[in-house]
Amino acid sequence: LAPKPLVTSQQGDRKDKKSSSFQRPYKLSHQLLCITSINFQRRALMGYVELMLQPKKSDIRVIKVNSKQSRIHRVCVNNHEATFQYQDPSLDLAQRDPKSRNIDVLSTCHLTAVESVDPDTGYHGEITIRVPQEVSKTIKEQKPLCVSMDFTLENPKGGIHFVVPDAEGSLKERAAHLFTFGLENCARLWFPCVDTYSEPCTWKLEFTVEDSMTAVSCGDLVETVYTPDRKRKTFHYVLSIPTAAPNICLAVGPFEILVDPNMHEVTHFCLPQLMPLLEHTTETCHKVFEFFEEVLSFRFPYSCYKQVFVDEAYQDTLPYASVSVFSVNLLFSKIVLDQTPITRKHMARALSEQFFGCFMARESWNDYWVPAGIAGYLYGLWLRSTFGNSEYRDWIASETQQLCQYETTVGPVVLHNTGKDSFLGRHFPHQHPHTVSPAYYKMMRCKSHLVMRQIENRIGPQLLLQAFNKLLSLANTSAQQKVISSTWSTMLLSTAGFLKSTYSVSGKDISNLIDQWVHKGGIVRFNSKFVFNRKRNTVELDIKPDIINKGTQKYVGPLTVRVQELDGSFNHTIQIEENTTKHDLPCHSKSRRNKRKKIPLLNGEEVDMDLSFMDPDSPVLWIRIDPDVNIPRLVNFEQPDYMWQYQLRYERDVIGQSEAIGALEAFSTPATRNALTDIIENEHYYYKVRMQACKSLANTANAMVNTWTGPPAMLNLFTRFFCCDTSPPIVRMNNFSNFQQYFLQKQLPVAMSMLRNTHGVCPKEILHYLFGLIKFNDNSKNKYSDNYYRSALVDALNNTITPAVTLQSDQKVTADSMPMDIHTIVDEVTRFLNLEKHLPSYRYTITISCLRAIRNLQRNGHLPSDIELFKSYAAPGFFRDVRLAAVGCLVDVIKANKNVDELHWLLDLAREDRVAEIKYGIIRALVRNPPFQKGDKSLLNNAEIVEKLWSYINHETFYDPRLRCEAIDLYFKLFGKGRPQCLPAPQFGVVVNLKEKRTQINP
Amino acid sequence: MSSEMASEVLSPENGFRQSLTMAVAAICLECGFESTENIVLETLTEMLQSYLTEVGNGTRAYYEHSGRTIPTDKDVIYALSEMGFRNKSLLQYSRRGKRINIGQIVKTVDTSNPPVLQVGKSKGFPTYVPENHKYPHFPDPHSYIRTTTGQKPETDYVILREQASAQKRDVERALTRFVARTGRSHPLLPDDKNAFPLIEAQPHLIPYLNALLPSEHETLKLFEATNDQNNEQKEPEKDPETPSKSKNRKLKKKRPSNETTPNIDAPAQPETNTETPVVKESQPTPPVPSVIHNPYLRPVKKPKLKKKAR
Repeated sequence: LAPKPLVTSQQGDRKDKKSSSFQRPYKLSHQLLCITSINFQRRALMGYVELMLQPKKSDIRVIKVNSKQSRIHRVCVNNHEATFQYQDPSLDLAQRDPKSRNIDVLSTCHLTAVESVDPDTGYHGEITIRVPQEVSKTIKEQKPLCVSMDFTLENPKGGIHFVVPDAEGSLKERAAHLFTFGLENCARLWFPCVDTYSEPCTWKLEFTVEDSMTAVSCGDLVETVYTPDRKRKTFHYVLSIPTAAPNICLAVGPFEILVDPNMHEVTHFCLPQLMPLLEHTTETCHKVFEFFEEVLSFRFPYSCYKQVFVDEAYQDTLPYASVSVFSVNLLFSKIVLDQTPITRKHMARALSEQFFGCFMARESWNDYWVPAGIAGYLYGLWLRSTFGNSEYRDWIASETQQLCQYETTVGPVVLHNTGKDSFLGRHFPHQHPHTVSPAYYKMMRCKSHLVMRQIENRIGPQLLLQAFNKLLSLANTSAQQKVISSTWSTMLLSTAGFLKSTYSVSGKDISNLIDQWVHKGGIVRFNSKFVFNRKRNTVELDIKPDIINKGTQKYVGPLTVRVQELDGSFNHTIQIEENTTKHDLPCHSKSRRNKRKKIPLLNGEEVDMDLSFMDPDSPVLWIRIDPDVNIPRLVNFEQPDYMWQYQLRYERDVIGQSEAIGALEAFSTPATRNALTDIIENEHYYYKVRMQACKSLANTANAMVNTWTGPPAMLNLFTRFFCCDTSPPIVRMNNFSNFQQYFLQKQLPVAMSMLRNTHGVCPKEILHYLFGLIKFNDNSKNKYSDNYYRSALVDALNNTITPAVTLQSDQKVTADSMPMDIHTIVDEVTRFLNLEKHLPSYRYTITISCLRAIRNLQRNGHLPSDIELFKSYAAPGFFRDVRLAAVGCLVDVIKANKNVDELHWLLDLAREDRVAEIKYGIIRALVRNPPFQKGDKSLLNNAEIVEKLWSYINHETFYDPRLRCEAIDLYFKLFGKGRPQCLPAPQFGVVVNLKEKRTQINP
Repeated sequence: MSSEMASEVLSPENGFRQSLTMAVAAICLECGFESTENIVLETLTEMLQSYLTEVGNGTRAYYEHSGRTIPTDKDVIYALSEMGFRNKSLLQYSRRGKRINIGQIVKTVDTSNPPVLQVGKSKGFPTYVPENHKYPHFPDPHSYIRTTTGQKPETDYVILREQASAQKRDVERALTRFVARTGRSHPLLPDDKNAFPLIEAQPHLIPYLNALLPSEHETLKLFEATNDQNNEQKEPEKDPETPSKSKNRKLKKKRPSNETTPNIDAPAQPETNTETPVVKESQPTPPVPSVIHNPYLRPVKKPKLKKKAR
C-alpha cells in the first residue's frame, strides 16, 4: 500500500524540476560486490551485493535498485528479509501499442521505458524493495541501512560476456575468460546496483575464481586467498575512491601477467600465448602516464592501473575505474607497422578517460560532454606531443568535417539539452544515452572535444589546464574523506560546475560560447567569395552564412581570415553580424612593386615563387577563412584556381593544404596536375596530405583524360621512388624504414588503379604495372611485415575492375571465357586468399581485401554471385575483421540479388551470435548499405522483414542499448518514420482512434 | 634377399628364376621323385640360387684378387673347390646316362646396359704397350680429369629477380593448388570447378591467435629485430639495481603537485605499498627493494577459516 503515494510524488517531482534538482531519499556510501562462483561451462555466476545506504529522509518505504537479467533470490534490509518487485519496461517497448509499426511511436516508448527505470531522472529502478517494518525505526533515526541481495546470472546476453571456446582441454588451455561491458551505464546487467554515474561510493569487491584464473577488477588487490579446498582462490579488491557502479568492471581469465617494467603500479594482462605481443604493445605506456601527469600537474588518481586485453570485446576500448579493457585485436608485434599508432592512440585515450570519465564522472547525461570533452582534449594534446602538430591539426580538421557532415545530413548534435523537443527532426530522442543512435553518440564525443578546444582558444591553454587541475584537486580532496558526506558531489562533473571552475580561474565568462555550441545544435556554414579592389587596395570579402540547410545555425561573432600577400601573411579578425555580409580587408602590399623578392610565409620561411600565374594587379596570393578551424564550420570559398594552387604549394599548414587539394578537384588543368605532382614528390610535406594528393591527382587525370599527355599519372613517380634504378619496371625489395615513403608506397598503386582511359576502363599499362608490382614484391630483407602493402595491392587490383562487357545471366562463366586481364586478377586473388590459409597475415588484412575483390568481381559480372563463400567466412570461428568484411559482402549480395532468405539468415545471425560486436557489425553494415530505401518496391520490403526487425528492436535486444539503437537506425533507413508501406493500412476503429489520440500514432 | 625382391620387379630375373625352378624339377625327376609340393620346389630353387650366387661371388673374389676384370675357368674351379665341391665329380655328372631335357629356356630380354654416353675422346695407350694387349680401355677422360662447368653463374639483377619471384610464385601456387585439390575446396566458378579452387575456410577455435601472432616465416624477422634491441633492453629488466632507479625517477616525477595526496616523503619503501591499511596489517613483511612489488605477483595465501564465514 505504502509505495504508491511515494512514487507519484516522485513522478510529480520529476515533472517539475526534471533531473537537475532531483534527490534520492538515500545516499549510497559503500557497496560490497561478491561473486562467489563462476561457472564457465554453463556461463553462469552467483554472488551477492550489499549496499550501505544513508537515509536522507525519515519516511523511506521502498528502496529502488537497478538490476536486469539476473535472478534475485533474496533481499534483506538490515538482516530482515524484505519483499520486492521486479519490473523492467525495456523488455517490451511497445506494449501499450502492440500493433503499431511506427518508429516514432517506438522511439517515444523507448525513451519512456529507459527513463522510467533510470535513477537519474527520478527515484527509479527495476527492483522495488519494500522496507520491512522492523527497520523503519532505523530509518527514522537516519541510521545506515544495509541492503543485501543474493543473485545468480545465467547465460547473460549483455553486460558480461563469457568467452568459452568450444575446444578440448582445460579452461586455461582454451583461454576461456569473461569480462563486463556496456554502453554508458550498463552495470545493472550483471549485478544489482544504483546504475548511475551520479551516485559514487566506496567499494569492496570479492571474486572467487578457479585456481588457474585471475580476476581483474577496480581498485587495489588487497590479497588473494585460497578457498579451504585449495581448488579456487578469492581476489579481494578495495576501491577507496568513491566510484559509480557503471565504472566497476570485472575480467576473469587465465591471464598472463606483465608488470610494466617502467612503472610497477601498472599491470598488463593478456590471454595465454600472447605475452610477446603484450610486451611490445605496452612498451610506451609509461610515457603516456608521464605526459598526462605533467600536463595536468596532477598525479594519477588511482594507486594502480590495469590494462586487460580480451577477446570478442564490445569495442576496442572500454575504460573503467583504474582498469581499461581493450580488444585483443589491438595487440601487435614488432614487425607490424600500421597498427602501432592506432593502438597507441586507443591506449592514450583510455588513460585520459581514467582522469575524466572514471575518476571524475559526469553528473547527468546532459553533462556528458564535459568529461568526454576534457578527455578528448587531453588526448589531442598527447597526440600533438607524440605524433606532431600536423597529425593533431589533421585530426581536428577531420573530426570537424565528420561532425559537419553528420549534422548537415542527419540533424543537429546537442550536447546539453534544455529544450523540450527530444527529436529535433531526427528519429531518436537524445535525452538518454540508451536511446541515441551510436553515430550520434560518436558525434557527441567528437563535438565535445571540439567545444573544449574552442574554450581553450577563448581562455588560453594554460588557464584551461589550471581549471582541470582545480577540478581534479577538489575531487581528490573529497575522495579522501572517508566519512559519508555531500562533498563527494565535487567528484562529479557538470556543465555548471565546469563553467564555475573556468570562470574562477580565468575570470572570463564563456557562457555565450556554451549557449551557442553546447545548448544548441548545428554547425556554421559560409558561402564566401572575394573581389580585389585595386583602387583602394583592399580585399572585399563577401561572407554569406547559410542558415536554411539542415543542421546549420546562425553565428554571430569574430571570425579569422588569413590573407597571404606578397609581403607576408596577415590575419584579420572580422565580426560576423546579422545584416552585413561585406567585409573590407586592407592589403599591406602594393602589387608587384619589387619583383624578384622572396615571399615571407606564415611560419617565417621566405621562398621564391613563380608569380607568373597570378593576377598582376593583385598582391593576394590566397585567402583562408577560419584557418585554424576554431568553430565547427563548413566553408565554401571561391577563389581562382591559381590561388588554390599557390595555397597548395606554399601554405605551410596541413589543413590549408588539404582544403586546397579538395578545392582543386574542380579545376582539372595541367597547372593543377603539376601542383599535385610536386606535392606528392616533395618529402617535406605531411604524408597524409601527399596521400590525399595521390587520390586527387587520379581524379584530375580522369577529368583530363582527353588532353592528358605522357604516361599515366603517378606511374613515373612510383618508378622513380620505389623501383630499381637500373631496371626500372622492377620494384625494389621492400624497405619500410622510412614511414612516410611506406605510406606513399601503399597509397600510390591504389590511386593509380583509379585511373580510367577514354573508354572508362583502367589503362592496360597500369594493370600490367600492378601485376609487376605483385610479381616482384619481395619482403625477404624487410624489417617489417608487408601485409598491409600486399592488401593495398589487392585493393588496387580491385579498383581496376570495371563492369563486364556482356552481362548474360545464362552464359556459363569459365576460366577460358574470361578476358585475359580479369583471368589474371582472379588468379592473383585466388593465390593470395589461398596462401592466407597457411601463412596468415596480421589481422588477415589480405583475406579481407580478397573477399572484397571477389565481391567486386561478382558485382561487375565477371564471376557468378556466390553467397555461400561469404556465408562461410561470416560464420563463428573466424577472426572478427574477416567476419565483418564477409558480412559487408553479404549485405551487398543481398542488396543486388534481392535475396529474402539470406536477409533472414543475416538477421538471425544478428540475433543469435555470441559476439556483441558482430551483431552490431551486421546491423551497421545494413545501415551503411541498406538493401532498399523507404518506398522502394523491393522483394525484401515485405511484412516479414518488418516484423522481424520490429521484434528485434522491441524486445529481443533489451540487453544491449547500442545494438537496439543501431537497429532503430536501420528501421528508419528502411521504412522511414511512418508506418512501413508494405504493411496493410491499420484498421480504423473507434478504439484504435481513441488510442491514437492518446499515443499519437499514425499521422 | 635383395635379389629376390628385385626378381619380382625385373623380368629378366624372373626368367632366371623360372629356369632354375625347371632345372630343379628336372633333377628331382631324374632322382626318382614323381611329384613335389610347391613350397619344397621353391625351397630347393632358393638353395640352388644361393649356391650359384655364392659361386659367382667367390669367382669374382678370385679374379679381382689377381687384378683382372674378367673371370677365367680357373677362377671358377677355385671357387667351387673353396666351397667344398669335388671338381672331378662334375665330369662324372655331366656324363650321366638318363638326362631329362628341360627344353628351351625362356628367352629373357636382352638387358645389356644402354651404351655409355661417350664424353670426350678416351686416351689411347702409351707406345710401349704392345698391340695385342688385353688391357681394358681407358675410361672417359672426364672421370679422371677436372673440367670446368659450362656456364658462369647468373649475375644479372633483372634475371635473378625474375627467377626468384617466379620460383616463389611457383612454390606458392603449387602449394595452394595442392592443398586446394587434396583438401576440401570451394570453386570460385561453379561452371569451371578446376579453374580457381579456393581452399575451404576452416573455422578456428581461437581465431585471434593466428591473426595476431606472426607466422613462422615472419618470426625469423622478429628474432632479428629483437636481437638488435636486446642489448639495450635486457639490462634494465634483469639488473637488480634498476628498479630502485626507476623508483627514484618516479618519486621525482610525483612531485608534490598534488597537495591532497598523503605525502610519501619516506624513501622507497612506503611508496610500494600505497594501498589500504588492510594490507599492512595482514602482510607486515618488509618489502625488499630489489623485488617488483605488484599485488598480482604475490603468492596466494592460505585460507583462514575466519575469513570464510561471511
